[in-house]
Amino acid sequence: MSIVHISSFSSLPFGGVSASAILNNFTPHGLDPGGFTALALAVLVANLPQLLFSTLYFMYNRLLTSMLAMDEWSRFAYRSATLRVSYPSRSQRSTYWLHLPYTYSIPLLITTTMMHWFVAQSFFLARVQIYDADGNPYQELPGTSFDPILSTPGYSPKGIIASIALGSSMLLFLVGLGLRRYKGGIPLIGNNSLAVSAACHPPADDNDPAHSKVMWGAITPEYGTIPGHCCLTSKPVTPPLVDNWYAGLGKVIYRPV
Amino acid sequence: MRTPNGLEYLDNAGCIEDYSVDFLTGRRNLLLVTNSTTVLYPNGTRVIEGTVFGMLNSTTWNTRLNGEYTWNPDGWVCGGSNNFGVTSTWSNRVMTNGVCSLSKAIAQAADLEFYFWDENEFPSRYSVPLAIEYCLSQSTPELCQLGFTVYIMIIVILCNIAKVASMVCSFWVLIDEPLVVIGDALSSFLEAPDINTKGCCLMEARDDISIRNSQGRIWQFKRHYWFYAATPFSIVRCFIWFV
Repeated sequence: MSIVHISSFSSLPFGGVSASAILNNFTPHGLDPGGFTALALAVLVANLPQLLFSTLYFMYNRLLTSMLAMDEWSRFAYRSATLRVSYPSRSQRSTYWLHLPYTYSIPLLITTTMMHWFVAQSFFLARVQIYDADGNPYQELPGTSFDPILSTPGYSPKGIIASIALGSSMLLFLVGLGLRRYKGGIPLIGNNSLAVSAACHPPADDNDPAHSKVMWGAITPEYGTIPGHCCLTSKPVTPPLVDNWYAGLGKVIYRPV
Repeated sequence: MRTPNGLEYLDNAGCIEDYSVDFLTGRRNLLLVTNSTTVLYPNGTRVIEGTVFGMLNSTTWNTRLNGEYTWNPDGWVCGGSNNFGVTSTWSNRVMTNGVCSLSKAIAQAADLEFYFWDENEFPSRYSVPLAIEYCLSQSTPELCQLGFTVYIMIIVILCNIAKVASMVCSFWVLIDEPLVVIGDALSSFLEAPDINTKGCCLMEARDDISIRNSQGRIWQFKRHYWFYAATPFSIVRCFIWFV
């Protein structure tokens, strides 16, 4: 790899081909630099960063999804609402957004599009044809057996710096978001189906909670019933009391320590 | 100004600027013109009466393919070959800490000086300085082709077809109550409560599921970080991937 001197940095193009910023001697020894194998290899290497970023996008999206799904769930502790499902029936709400609300998904979409563009400007395929003093394409360089068409990955330091800057701000945003705190007052069930099911034990007289406005909290206990019970239900609920004992609806033998 | 034979007049500064690009795309051969047809040597003899004093081959790629060093886009105003190139007087003026400065070269372009060694006339290889007056450049139409590879295009088209097919499949074929958003799971469990989790009403995602029991637990008010919603593994993996 050739070294770009710092004084010449400002003159380098953003994403353009520059002789001082391409991988020299990229083509493995014995392979024709103008041939298809060299081209395919250069295409793969030049686009590898795109694949890496796409993988990162899935991981990033997954973290945002987990955090925002719990934000959506947390709200059931403070207001009653109908469920938001993929195929709504009756009073259920539709998934206007799939897993990220528009306030997150649209900026994320714009950022990742820009990031893909920056990465494309950072690493690209450079294909150069050399002409001789008479203006004819060189068929073969004197003294060598190489075809003087060169397929090699090129890079743009400005593009790389832009990519790193944007990538770092995405990471900072994630850290900032992760260090927010939920409002509390509800168990964080996450994407754990066991915990999700544990929160869904409405009382027997709750009529079709899946299609009603529901809220999470402690249901009013029948007289003398210990312990209490918390669930997602369309019945009236109150916030659970600190240091109080909550379990199921049936009889319980002993109080947990 | 266009000269009759198709060469374009460039002053020294324009010549240095135009020919110091990485890939020369709009110009081809360059003539550096001097008015020194007569040079007096130390012994007083009149030696030079010629038209062409030296030349450099512009095939930069020779260097890259381990060929002979000839001409370099970012170095010709500060160097040269054994027989022809800028004088050391000139290169000392335009180099800063061993780095060739294009802006310095352009600023002092009027004083551009080349030397050549006339081996035939002078076995001692006396270096003859030649002041450059102006340049003549051969302009050429810029050539830029659309690169097109059928094999890669076929691969891309096949990948796109596979992608569209998967999208159509997931949209039209997988229609039996998918669990996509958390509301889907809540709706499903509200309609058919799971007997296994009866009594565990305060269970959280990160609880140890092996100790679940129907005795329930004591409620404590906690405000978790948003990171708590994701598994530590997925957070660590995402951070590593960023780096």
